[in-house]
Amino acid sequence: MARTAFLQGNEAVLEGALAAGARFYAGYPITPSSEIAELASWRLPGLGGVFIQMEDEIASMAALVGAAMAGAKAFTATSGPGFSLMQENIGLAVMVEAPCVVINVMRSGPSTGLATKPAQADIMQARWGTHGDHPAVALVPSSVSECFSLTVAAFNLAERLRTPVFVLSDEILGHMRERADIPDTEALEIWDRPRPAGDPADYRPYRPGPDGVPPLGTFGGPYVFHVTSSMHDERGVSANDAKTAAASVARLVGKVSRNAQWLPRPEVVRSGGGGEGGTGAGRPVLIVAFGSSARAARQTMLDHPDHPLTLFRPRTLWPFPEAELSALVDGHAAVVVAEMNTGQLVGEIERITAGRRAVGLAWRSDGEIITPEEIWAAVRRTLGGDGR
Amino acid sequence: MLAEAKPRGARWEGVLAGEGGQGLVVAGIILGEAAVLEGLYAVQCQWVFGSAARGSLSRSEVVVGPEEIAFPRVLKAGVLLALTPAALTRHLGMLGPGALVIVDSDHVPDTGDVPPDADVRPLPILRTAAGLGLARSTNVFALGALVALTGVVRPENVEEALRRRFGVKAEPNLRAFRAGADLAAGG
Repeated sequence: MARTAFLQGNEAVLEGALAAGARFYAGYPITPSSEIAELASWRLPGLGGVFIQMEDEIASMAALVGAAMAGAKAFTATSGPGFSLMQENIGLAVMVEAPCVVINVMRSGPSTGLATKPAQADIMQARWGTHGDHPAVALVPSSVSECFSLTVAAFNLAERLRTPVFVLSDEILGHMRERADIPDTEALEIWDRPRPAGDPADYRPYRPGPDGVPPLGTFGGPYVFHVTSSMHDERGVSANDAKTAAASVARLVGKVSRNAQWLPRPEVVRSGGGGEGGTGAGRPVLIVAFGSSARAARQTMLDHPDHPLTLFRPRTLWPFPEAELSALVDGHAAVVVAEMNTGQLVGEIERITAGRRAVGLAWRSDGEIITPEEIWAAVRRTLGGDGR
Repeated sequence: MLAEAKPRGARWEGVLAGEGGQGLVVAGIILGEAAVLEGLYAVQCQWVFGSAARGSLSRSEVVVGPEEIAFPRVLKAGVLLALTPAALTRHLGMLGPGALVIVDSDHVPDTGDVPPDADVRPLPILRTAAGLGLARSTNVFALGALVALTGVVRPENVEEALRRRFGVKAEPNLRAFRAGADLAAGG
């Protein structure tokens, strides 16, 4: 039944995973994600699912790939140090097209860093952490309600795209409790992986369907297939030729971009008569922020109601919603990016803005949450002149 | 005398601070649960200053409002509950103008550094709760005093949150909550 609850972000992630049909968890507990493992260990056995505490995160990710191929909706939760260890087998999941979900409750690094404090510094690792050309899908919740809804979306996307999907939360979101709206599980739209049909003898495990995604058989079932991390043809058999390689990489990357309409859309919020036709005093500024930083940006807007401000908040960080952002740039005098790292997303925003407007940065990398005042200062700084 | 209830349109920010083990994180969660029962929005965050589960400084932040809470952390606390000297001194910088500062009068005898515009209410919280045999519910006792002095949520919603959380063990907590309110009211 739909309910309004006072929930922790990590609890909401777990509830979302279960509602999406997740029945396999393999992981190694790490602050600030451990509540997800703990709750999964309590809840999954009663649902006929499996919880395994693995020896490390390398093995955890390997277990996810195996579970996915055996038919389960599989997930794990970790933080920076564990996410680093998972990178090799994330590449394996990409290559063999194993649907799975990795929750990264980001904390301050590098290395074990500030183990109990927040950061948003793993976003480029989520994009490019594993080697080789590959797609990346990363969702970024900004509230406890979204910890639920975007985890459901992550499983849906993983299944339908047959690729690992990341949920990038952070210590603030993971540990804070807030009022959250949890929809009725029956009312959720749940997607499952495309499955093969027809004569098993004709099954070509890597022949793409109409979406560019191959139907996935289940290990132990009638559709027998071979899985290899090396370049392979439609039969799943190793193939070293240039033609197969070019087509495989293009399809792996292209299956995400061609189905971009499946990705959660960004939220755009205007205040102070922000944007085109604005009535507020001052030149309009476009703020780009996600996750906890977006909560600070919303507060900046509430604290300065007379200045026209627009918040562009991606729910899908990768692939970044370039066209939506690009369309907003010209209606503003400047762009400000707010992120809890030394400046990772800002490079992407500069690329999309392409010199049309000044791009400023509000950043923080000391394990503390970025504040509304810091974002306001960046707005004034980026506008230059009188800062209005 | 009880303070005026805060206007419903405002963002209410409170800090509940003391030692790890005193249960103030849970008290903050119960306050948030009560706010949600009341149809309000609420966020609760915690901060533990050290690796010890018990004895180190601990802070629970609660923000309550009639609309979705934007920034989840306390910007300018309207209320500070401090059960240890460190819980007071460490959070003086977070106080907003005219803040209500509730301190345990036995354990925090020195309130000389509190800004003069603050409304300081020393109450014998730990001693009174212990005297009633409610030492284990000191956190809820303190919450009773805080809710009575601020009116941030209606007492019946805290009592409902306590029943939901503690079930058959709710009774001592309900007594503690009411006794804390009585102490704040000077009863």
